[in-house]
Amino acid sequence: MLSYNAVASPSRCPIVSFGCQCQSSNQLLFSSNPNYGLSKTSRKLKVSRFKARFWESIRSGFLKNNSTQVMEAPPDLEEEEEEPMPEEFVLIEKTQPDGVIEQIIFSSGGDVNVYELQTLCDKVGWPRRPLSKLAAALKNSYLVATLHSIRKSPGSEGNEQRTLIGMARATSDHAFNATIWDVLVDPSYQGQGLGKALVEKVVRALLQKDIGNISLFADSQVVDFYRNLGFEPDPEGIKGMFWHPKY
Amino acid sequence: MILRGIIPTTPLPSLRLKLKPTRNVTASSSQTTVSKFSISDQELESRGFILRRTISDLDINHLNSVFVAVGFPRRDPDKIRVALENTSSLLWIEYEKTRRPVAFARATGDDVFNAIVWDVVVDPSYQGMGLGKAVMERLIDELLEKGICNIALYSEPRVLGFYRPLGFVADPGGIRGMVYSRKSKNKKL
Repeated sequence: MLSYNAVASPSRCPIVSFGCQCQSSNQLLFSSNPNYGLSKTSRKLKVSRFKARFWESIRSGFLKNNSTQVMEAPPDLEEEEEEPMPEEFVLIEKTQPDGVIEQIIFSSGGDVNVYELQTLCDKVGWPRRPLSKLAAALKNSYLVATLHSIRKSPGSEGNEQRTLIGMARATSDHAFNATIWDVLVDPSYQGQGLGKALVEKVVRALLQKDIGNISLFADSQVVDFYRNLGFEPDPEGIKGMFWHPKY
Repeated sequence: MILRGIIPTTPLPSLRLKLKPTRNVTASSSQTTVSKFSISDQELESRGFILRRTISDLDINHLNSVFVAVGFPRRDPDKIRVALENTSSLLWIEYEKTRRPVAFARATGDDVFNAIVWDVVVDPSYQGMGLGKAVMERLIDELLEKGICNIALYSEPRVLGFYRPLGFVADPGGIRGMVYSRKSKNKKL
């Protein structure tokens, strides 16, 4: 069981809040306790297996008795920019034993209810920020990506329950640089690869908008999480610096 | 707000105000707090360096030349314009005699919580005079005035010593700056 209880205060270092508890089927997916003891070859194998297993583990990530369907075809990870990414799409759909259908929807349309966001931030343990500031920050962000859970009861005549379960946003100058902030996933949905999917989609969306430099600041415990998504720490010795940080 | 290590050397602000009552409001507010910067606005002005905070009089091609002179790749001026138009805080210094930019810095962000400083440059012919510091101190000040207290940047190793005295700390609490690389995505670990 891996858990990192990494609660990053958003005002200081807004990256991933990731107190994940991995289920046995996801152990390979979240082996971000780094492979320090492993040799290079076995690590190589692990990464390529990781890529192949990514969508498989999303599929099996949900509780056993559900029929889970991965809606999106496994992405060709080498050619991210081929097809334009739709603004909103179903990531996962599953049917619970009681007949309730749950969909996890990704959206980059940026439509976030600040009250819902605050609830989500509370759930991951981030300190409260004024709602007006949250709203302004979202409005001033170049890209706001969300994960929503939509639950439909059978025969409920379209009565659905929609909950915000994940978010990530990026600020940008619309031309050269983008920085990803505030990546968060509802703790009860963690351990299923949703955080990875979220970041992967954000990166893809930014690349499609021709933003060449995508950066972020990662707490030490999540550096490997981002490494696995294609981020490199201190490239060419370039260091992230903060002005009078509260550490 | 007082920057650490700055020793005020200018005369009492109130005296100045009395001597030059025709100064406009903006100028007088910078006069009352003039001691917070290493080099005051007045000193810069007296040496022919004009502080600018908008892109209205900025020649993008001249700016691009400064970028190239310090080693940045030459970027499409139209793209630079888009970047500057979508930058909430920027500062540059124009040299009176040449009417060209000699120092520049900008910061992007959400204008509420976070800001990242980019493109900090000083024309090589004007380096070593404190212009980089002047631009950075004022940019930080502007960001703080907006209530933004999370100010970050990515520093090349050779200029860490420039940012440290300004109050920047590398990897605080073990935080690492990371950049997406298509190469590293495909690289087997």
